Amino acid sequence: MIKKKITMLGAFAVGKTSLVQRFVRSIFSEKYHTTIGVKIDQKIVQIDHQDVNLLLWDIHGEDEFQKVKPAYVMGSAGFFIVMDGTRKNTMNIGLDLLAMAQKVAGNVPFIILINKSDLKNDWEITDSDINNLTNKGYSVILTSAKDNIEVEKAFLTLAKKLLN
Amino acid sequence: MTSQEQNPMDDLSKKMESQGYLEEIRRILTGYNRKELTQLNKLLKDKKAFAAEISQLLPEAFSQLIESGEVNLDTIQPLVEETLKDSIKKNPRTLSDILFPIMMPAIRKAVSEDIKRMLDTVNSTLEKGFSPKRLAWRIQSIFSGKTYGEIVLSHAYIYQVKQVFLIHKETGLLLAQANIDDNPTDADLISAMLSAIKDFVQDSFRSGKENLDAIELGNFNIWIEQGPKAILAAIVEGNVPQNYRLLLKETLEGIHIDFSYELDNFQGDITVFQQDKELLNKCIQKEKKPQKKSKPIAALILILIVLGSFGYWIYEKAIEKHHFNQFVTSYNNTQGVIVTKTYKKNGQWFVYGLRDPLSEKPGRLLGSYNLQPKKVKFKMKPYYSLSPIIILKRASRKLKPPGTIILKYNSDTLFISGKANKNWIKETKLTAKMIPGIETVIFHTTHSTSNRQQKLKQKILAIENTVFSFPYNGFYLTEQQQQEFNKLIKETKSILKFNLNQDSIPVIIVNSFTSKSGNANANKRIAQERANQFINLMIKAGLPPEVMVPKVVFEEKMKKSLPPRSVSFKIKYVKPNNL
Repeated sequence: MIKKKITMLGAFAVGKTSLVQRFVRSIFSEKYHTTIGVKIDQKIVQIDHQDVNLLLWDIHGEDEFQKVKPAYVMGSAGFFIVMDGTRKNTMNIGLDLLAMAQKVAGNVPFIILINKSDLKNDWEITDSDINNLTNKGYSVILTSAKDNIEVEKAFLTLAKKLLN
Repeated sequence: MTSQEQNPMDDLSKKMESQGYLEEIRRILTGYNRKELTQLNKLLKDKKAFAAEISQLLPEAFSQLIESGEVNLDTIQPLVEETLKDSIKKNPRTLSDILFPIMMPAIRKAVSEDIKRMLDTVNSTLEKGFSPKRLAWRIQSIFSGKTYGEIVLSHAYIYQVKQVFLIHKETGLLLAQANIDDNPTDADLISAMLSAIKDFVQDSFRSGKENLDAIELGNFNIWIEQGPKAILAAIVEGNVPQNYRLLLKETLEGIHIDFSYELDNFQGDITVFQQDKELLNKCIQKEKKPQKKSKPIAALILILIVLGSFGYWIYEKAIEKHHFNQFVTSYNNTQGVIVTKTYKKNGQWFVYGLRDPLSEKPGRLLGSYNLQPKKVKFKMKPYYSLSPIIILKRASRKLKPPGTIILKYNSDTLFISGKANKNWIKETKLTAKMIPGIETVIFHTTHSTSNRQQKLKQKILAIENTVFSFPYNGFYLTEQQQQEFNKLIKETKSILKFNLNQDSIPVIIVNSFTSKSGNANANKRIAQERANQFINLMIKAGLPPEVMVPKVVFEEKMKKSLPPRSVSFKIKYVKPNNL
C-alpha cells in the first residue's frame, strides 16, 4: 500500500473543504464552516492498478489574521493551491502559499485549482490571469465542488503526478 | 633591482635550457629515478591523489608525533571542541540524529540505575511498615523472586495499551499499527491528526526542544514517543507504569536502527513496515491487578442450593429422629403406656406396644416434639394399666363421683371422701371393688343435700330474713311492703309444695315483736293481734291456715335487735302429729 500526504492550501472560503468533501464523500453543503486548524480525510484511489491511500490535509484558509503553519505542509507528497475564481485576491494569497509550500515541502507536484466554476459569470480571475499561471508551467484546473466539475479529475491527476 | 642588475645564473640557465644542456644535466644527476620523480611530481599536483596518499600516513604520523611529544593533546583538544561547538550551533539536529541511537541506551541505563536506587529506597522504607496486606506482598515477593518494592508498585497498576501507531514523522503517515483486539480504528486519520496536533503544539509554543509527550482524552491517554524520523503513539488506558515509556523508547530506537534507510527514503510505501508483524506487538501490553478468578456464580449457587437442601434434609431427618426418640421415651413414661418396639419404614414411624384406653392420647405429645401425627402410626394393643393414676382415672370414669367427692388411691385401696347423696354412696359401695386395681374401698363420706334442698334452704332463709315493720298503733302495708309481702307469699307457697321429708311438713311461725317496757301484757296482746292480722293477710293471699302459727316475741329475749312493732317468720318442719 502506498500512502501519500496531500495538502489543501488556499485563502479562506475558497472551497478547500468542499472540494475534499466532494471528492471523499461525494457531498456538498451550501453552509459555510470555516476550518479551524486541520481536518484530515482519506480516500483510497486506484492509479495504474495500484491502490494509493491519499491522506488529505485540509488546512484552514489563510487570511491576514491566520497564517498557515508550515509544519502542516511538511512531508507533503503534493499539494493543491485552491483559489476562488470570484475573488481575485485569493490568487495572490494562493501564490504566496505556493511559494511557502515549495520552500517547506520541496519540489513536489502541485496543481492550482480555481474553484467555483459554477459561478463563472462572476469571476474576477480572468483568462489572462489563468494564462499567466499556465505560462509559468503551473497545472491549472477549473473546478466546482458544488456542481462536481473536474473535482475527481483534479485529485486523480495529482495522485498520478505523485506516483511518477 | 633593475633589469641591468639581473642574476648572471639566470642568464646561464636560460642559455643551457635553450640549447638542451640542462635536460641532459638533469638526466645525468637523477639517473634511473627519473620516472619515479615524474610520478611524484604528478602526485603533488593532483590534490585528491596526494590527500589519499597522505591520509594513509597521517594516523601513524600523528601517533608518533604525540608519542614523541612534538604534538600535545591539550593543544588539539580546544580546537576539536570549538569545531564541534560550531557544528552543533549550525545544525544541532544532525548531531542529535547521529547521537540518538547511541545516547538513548546510555540515558536509559542511567535512568534504570536511578530507578533501581529508588526501588531500594522504597524497599527500605516499606520494610519498616507492617500490615496484613504488606505481609501478603512480602510473601509474594519471596515466591516470585521480585523485590518487595516491585511488588508494591505492581499493585498500583491497572492498565492496557489498546493501540500503538508507528507514524512517519515528516509526513504524518501511518507506517504500522498494532491493536489489542481485532477492531482497528481509522488509524490513518488518527495518525495524521496526531501528527497535526504535534505540529500544532510545537509550532504554537515555538518550542523546538520540547516534545509533545502525551495527550489526555477522557479515560484514554496517548503516549507519544518521538524519534528523529518516526513517532510511536500508544493509546493507553489506566495507570500505565513509567517503564512502559522505556519500552516505547527501545522499540522506537530499534525501528530507527532496523529501518534507517527506509525511514530516510520514505516515499509513502509502507509495505516494508507492515511485513514485520512483530514490529509493534510487544508494545501492546496490559497489566491488571491480580483479580480473584471469576467464579461460576450460577454453578456455585446451584451447588450451594443442592448442598444446602441435602444438608437441610439430613438435618431435618436427624432432628426428626432425635425428636422421635425423645417422644418415644416420653411416651413410654406416660402412665398406661408400654412401648415395645419402634421402627421407620418408607418415611413412616411405627410404634408398637400396649396402651390403656384411659392413658393420654399421643397427639398432644407428638405436637410438643414437632412430629406430624400422620408420620407416626401407632400399633398399640389395649390393656388395663395398674398405674395409680390410670386406676384413679378408671375409678373416676366408672364411679362418676359428684364434685364434692375426692378420690385417692394408694396401695390397692381407693379412698373416697366428701359429701355425696345416699344413692351414689350406696351404689359406689357395690361397684368400686369391681374396678381393676382396686382391692379395698374406704369411705369418709357424709350425705349431702341435693340442689333442690339447697334451693329450699335458700328460700327458707330468704323468708326468715323478711321483716315487716308497722307504725305505732297501726297495721297496714306500704306499697313497698306490699311487694315484699307478695314475694313472701310466693316463696312460702313454693316451700309448701316441696316435701323435704315425707315424715314432716313445714310450719310458718309468724313472730310478732314487742317490748316488755310499759304494759307488757298490753303489749303482748297488741303483738298477738298483729300476728293474727298478718296471718289473716297470708290466708287471704292463699296460704293454708293450718300451717301458720302466731307467736309473740319480746325484744328483750332476742339476740339481735329488731324494730318494735315488726313481724318476722320462722319455718319449721314438724311431724303432722305435732301440728
